[in-house]
Amino acid sequence: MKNTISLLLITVGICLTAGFGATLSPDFRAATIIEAEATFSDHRVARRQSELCEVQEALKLPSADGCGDSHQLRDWGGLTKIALRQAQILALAEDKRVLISEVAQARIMLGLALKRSQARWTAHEAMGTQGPGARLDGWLSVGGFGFGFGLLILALGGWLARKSAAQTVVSDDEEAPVDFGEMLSEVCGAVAQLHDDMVSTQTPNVGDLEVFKARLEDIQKEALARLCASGPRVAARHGLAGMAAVFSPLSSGERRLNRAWAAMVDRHWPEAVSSVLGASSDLKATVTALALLAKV
Amino acid sequence: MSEDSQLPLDLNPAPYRELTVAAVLFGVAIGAVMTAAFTYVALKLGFTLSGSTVAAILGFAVLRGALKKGSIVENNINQTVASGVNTASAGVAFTLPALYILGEDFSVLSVMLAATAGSFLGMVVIIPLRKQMIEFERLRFPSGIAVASLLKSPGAGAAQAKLLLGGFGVSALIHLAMGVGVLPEELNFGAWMGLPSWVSLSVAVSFASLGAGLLSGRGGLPFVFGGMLAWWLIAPVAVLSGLVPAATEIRGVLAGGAYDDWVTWEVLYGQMLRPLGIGVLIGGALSGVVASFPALKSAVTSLANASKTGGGGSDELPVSVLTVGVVVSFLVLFGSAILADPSLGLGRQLLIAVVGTVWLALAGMIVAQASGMTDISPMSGMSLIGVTLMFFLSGGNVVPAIILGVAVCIGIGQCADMMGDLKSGHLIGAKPAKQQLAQLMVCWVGVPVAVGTIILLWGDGGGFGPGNAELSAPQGTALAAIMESLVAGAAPLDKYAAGGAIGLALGLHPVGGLGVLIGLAMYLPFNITVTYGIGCAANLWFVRTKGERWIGDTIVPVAAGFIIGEALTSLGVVLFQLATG
Repeated sequence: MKNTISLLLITVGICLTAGFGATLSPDFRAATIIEAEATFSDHRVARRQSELCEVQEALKLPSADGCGDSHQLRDWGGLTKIALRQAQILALAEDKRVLISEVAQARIMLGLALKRSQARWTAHEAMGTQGPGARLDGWLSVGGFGFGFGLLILALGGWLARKSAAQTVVSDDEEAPVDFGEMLSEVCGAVAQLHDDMVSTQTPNVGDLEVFKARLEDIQKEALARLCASGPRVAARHGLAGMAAVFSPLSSGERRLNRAWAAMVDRHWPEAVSSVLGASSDLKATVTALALLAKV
Repeated sequence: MSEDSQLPLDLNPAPYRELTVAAVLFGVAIGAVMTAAFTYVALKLGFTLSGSTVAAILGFAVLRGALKKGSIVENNINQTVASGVNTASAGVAFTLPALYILGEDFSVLSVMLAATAGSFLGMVVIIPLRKQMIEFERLRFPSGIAVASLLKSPGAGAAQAKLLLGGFGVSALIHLAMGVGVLPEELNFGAWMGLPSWVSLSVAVSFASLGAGLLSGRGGLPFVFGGMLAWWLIAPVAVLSGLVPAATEIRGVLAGGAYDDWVTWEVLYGQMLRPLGIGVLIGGALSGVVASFPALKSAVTSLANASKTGGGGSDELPVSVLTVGVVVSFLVLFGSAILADPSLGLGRQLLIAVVGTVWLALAGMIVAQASGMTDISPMSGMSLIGVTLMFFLSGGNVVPAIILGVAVCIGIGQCADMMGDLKSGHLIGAKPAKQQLAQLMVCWVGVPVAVGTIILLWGDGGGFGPGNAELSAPQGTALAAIMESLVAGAAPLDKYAAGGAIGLALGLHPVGGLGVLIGLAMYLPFNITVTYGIGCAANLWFVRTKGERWIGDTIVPVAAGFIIGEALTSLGVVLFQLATG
């Protein structure tokens, strides 16, 4: 029940904090609108330009005004948006040819779009930029209260979840450590036996190696995998420092067994034997660490 | 049983091959070639590629094939070295071009020093966290698992090799079909249903994301949950309640989907969720450090004890080496700050170097943690914060901000790369100290290669940038635009602060890394999260119906194949695009 409430509180808390946190300050929102107007004016210029090109193409006229191969009116680097629009307006006005009415109409529409775009970018530049401090103040004034409330709910949910997790471990108290300890002993014994059997093999051949590899894979994929996956449970019961004390030698043992497997694949017998021995000693150290924790 | 099962084993062979001259030299050679090539790719396409899988496959061909004596752990060293060298390509190509595009005068020596210091710092600050991230938190690092599956393939058996190849084939085929335009890059169900783009109902066609989700399982669910909250709740509510400008408020707004696209990508994503997500990532990581302090302390103490006793210490790089590494790298970074702008004054230059080092460590940890949990790296966001910090600390000076940004970007990349390689190493039983030593020896090599490539491509001027059709340098151009907006006084401090507070509060929850996962979900477009989420859900279903061992035997090789298939096909598609212009 506590778990469900905490999950609900966290969900509501994230929604409120992220929702109010994402809110734009009033001045920045107004600036965003002006920026949008400038951006859309660019889209409109592009659309008018494309309409003009379509008309020229439909009438099979030579390319001009930035259509086809003509470079006039095209976007060129190094100019600010306002200067670019000014240059484009002038270039369009300089061409005094008498044109078919559809083309002339399309050119007029493009000219209007260019002038509007220039005006929008001028307004955008005049608006300036709201500094970070002003944005923070503005945001706090519109979203601060809701955000603070959401943060409280989020923190409450986190605290409840933490409490609930601790209680879950206490209620499972009789089972969990026995399982971990038993599994650990099982793995420890299996690895020690594997080492003994490897050492007692006088003249090992590839077939022996494959048998040992299969036994090692069984250890790795069954009990050892489950042991290594139980970190959160060990941490909840013994604390993070306790978990670290157990998992440091356990992980080292796991890695040495992985090395033994690699050495077996590479048919390097001495490395495989010494890695299994190292793993066995790490696992014994894990048993000792767990016993020390149990005493505490 | 194999045909040679009666073959006796050599009981006195040469020492087991691990950190060998052949592995290091071959890794450096592959890494240098990849660095130059991927720097060019980054200037052309705006992204770069990880070299681990390519190096691992080439390692098989050369070390095990041609030289006939490579071991699995030796190939791991080769792959560690190659990817460590290649890390410089992204760090340099995403930042340095901005200085050229902005037309700034700068000292190349200062850039080289900063990049080299960043490379070393990234390594030495993340190494002490190996135990914490890989052994205690047991982060998945899906790409690390994929590379390990590849390295282990000679001994994994025919059935698993078939699964790996099958996953590879499917992923490669689909990605190739996307690359040549036969298949779409996303399945946009929302658009098909006529929904506006701010109701995100699209799925990225990415078998790498699917594979990462399959390998992450339950641990990745908060990431999906965060994405759903951000894109299915907050975004629609923000639009419908008027938190974002309505179409009626904007003069000259275009009909059709133009407004929806603008409000989705420019406002909801660009101005709201992404900067908020960056803040949550930072707050979540900070609270994670506080929450896991006892384990962190234990990890560092065990490292120190191992060094003193020399017992288990042979598997870990000594603390003294790491300490010297931090001090020397910091001094080099300080020297770079002095050269970047001698007029700043020693106090400010020292402050830049100190904050740069601290930020690199924190951001590197965030990126490594995010990669470990989801295989997705928020590197660009963390680098952006780094550059912004440097900009303010340098009193609004662009040159030192970007130069120190190069160091931060490379350092962060090294952190994620090193930790991914250490995960692969753990899974095949490599000695961490040997991997760390190998990468420490060569992590600087990529710097002159990447910087030299940039200088060569710039030529007499205008070799890349917004006006160049061949090499538009998208990331450098974006950074240049950000710098211009910073000069104009714009920085979303409100969003970073709010996100930071959310991340800190999420640290109270007992699930580790919750803040990082939720922040990452806000930071990314939702279609990637959905694909990843499908993988997580499938993993949970398989665990319930088939069990954990089946996951290890079947799903891991298939998912690894998915990741490797997409990575290699991406490389192939890029090469094809470059070849055909």
